[in-house]
Amino acid sequence: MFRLAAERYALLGSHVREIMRWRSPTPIPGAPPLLPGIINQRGQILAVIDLRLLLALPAAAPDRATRLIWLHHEEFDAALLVDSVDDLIAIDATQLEPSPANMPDPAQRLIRAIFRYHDQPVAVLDPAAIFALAQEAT
Amino acid sequence: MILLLETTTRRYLCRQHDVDAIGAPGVADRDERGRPIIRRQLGPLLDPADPPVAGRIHALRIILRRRTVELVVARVDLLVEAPVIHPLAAFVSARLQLPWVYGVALLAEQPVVALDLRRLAADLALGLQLAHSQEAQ
Repeated sequence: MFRLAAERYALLGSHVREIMRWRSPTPIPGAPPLLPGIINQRGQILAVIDLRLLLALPAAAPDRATRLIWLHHEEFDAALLVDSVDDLIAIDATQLEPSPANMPDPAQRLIRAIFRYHDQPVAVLDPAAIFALAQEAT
Repeated sequence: MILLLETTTRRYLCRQHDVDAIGAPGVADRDERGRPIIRRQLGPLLDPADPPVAGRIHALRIILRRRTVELVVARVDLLVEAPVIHPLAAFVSARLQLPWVYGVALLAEQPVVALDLRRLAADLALGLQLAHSQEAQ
């Protein structure tokens, strides 16, 4: 479970390889701000995806709480830039609710389900949609 | 063979066979065969945060059919052991403004971007640049 702006989001643990502290990525000439660069994590080259920008949230400068989440899905790997990482929690599938139908894009495409944690909504993101949306030109 | 290029703050890789000559930058606006020379600092061309190099500098000369392109850098080294160059992830290469990057290698555990200098030179000859360079003009 992690935070972006005032919102809480989550990814299934099976898609997360590692949580990393922020470090400046090597920029890729011509890449959009959504893709601020690449990092080396234990010999694996990972492109960084700024999840705030992917969700159309305002950009934020990195700070001590900023983290990179190594996301793996099928043949794709990336480091997701998030404001902070909260916790690893266990939830039952019965707690998951479908995402509301009236959400604006890109949240509509990215959010797979919603659950409540300490009475606060948490949006579960779809890793396939993250990679698909990151690839689409704007 | 692979060349390691250094600008003021960045390092890049390129294929040696993409470069026709390496030397001191010229001042002439045409080459010996009368082709106009397009001369650019590689650092700021690729990254707006990378200042132009000064002092002892080198020019990579890429000769095209109707133009010659000179890219100015701080340092050029031939890598004795060619690094493994990994292709960019598809979701990254699909989003590049111009296809100037063909891969990434690790040098001393740091990622270094590999450039397609022939494509870069051809695009410069056509007047194509990254958005930050167009805004700066």
